[in-house]
Amino acid sequence: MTRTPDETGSRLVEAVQAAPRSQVPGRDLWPEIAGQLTPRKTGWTRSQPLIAAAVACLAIGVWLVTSWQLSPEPPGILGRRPATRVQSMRPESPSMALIERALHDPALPPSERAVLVSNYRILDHAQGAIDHLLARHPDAPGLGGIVVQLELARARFLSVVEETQLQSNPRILP
Amino acid sequence: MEETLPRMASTCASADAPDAPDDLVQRAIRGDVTAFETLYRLHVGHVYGLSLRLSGDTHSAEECTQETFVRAWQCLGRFRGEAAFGSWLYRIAVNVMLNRYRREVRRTLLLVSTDTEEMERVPGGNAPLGLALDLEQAILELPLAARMVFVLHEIEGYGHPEIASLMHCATGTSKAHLHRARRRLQARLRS
Repeated sequence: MTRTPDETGSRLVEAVQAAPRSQVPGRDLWPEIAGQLTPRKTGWTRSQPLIAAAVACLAIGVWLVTSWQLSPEPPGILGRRPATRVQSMRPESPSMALIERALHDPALPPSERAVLVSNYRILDHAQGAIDHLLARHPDAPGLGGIVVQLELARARFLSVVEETQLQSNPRILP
Repeated sequence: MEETLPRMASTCASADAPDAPDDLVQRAIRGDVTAFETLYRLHVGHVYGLSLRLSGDTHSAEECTQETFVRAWQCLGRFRGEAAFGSWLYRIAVNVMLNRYRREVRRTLLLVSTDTEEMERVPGGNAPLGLALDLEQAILELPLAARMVFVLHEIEGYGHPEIASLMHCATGTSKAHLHRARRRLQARLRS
């Protein structure tokens, strides 16, 4: 039996409308999917080794400087003065505001909060040690390099804090 | 004169599966595999149904479904939360299928080089199990490009400009594929 074009078109419309949107697979695909899932790492878990390495290098550098026997040198021989204390970790800075927000984020798991606090304390202690050195031996050789390393560690720390905040706060889907 | 087929759903809407509770998604983002498995159970039917219609065989559909969920797991950190999770997941499924389609087209061009009809050959494979509707079988028998356009436009609600962008073709080409698909389906149902 042949249908007219109108009847065929209507039948096609009806069939499309009736077509189910979903269909369960013939077998459970989850075991194979689960086998391909790599552990999801949060910002802290992923970056903690890098921060720890940076802070360790910093701590070694501070120890080396403080253990040197410094003798007075005529002005000008040492060349550039080391960098002075950086502003970004002062209490009123935007970076501190970011860290405070992260610390008080209710979505932040306690384990990650503990890591954040621990790393911040290490950086703060290192900053204090460098401040002390700068005050007592502003021309110490190598101190400028240590200050740079501290800045790199701090920048990395703030980057991770920001990334963690972005992950825990919904945004517009691109 | 062809009748305009009504849209079945808005773009990317997951009409059948309820969307996931926010806490499930957040737990999955933090690495909870159990939560992600629940999300899988909620959305696998829709993802698999789309993959099956686009690919034309169960084996490819299963592979695409797996790849979709694995990619979703890897990219969970990028899920911002404005769109529904199902819509976001569905978008990944479409991209996975279209990547396969583009690979198939490139492979066909390399092997055959000039015969454009090869790009529209009906792939071999098993008919989906349990499908009783004439329409489903007829869709499976469509050439690859026509099938993809028909499913995305008529069943999933994508517009031609978006389909053209996804399939790397002109809007007119997308419309031509749809016209061809409708003509074949109507002829199939007429017999």
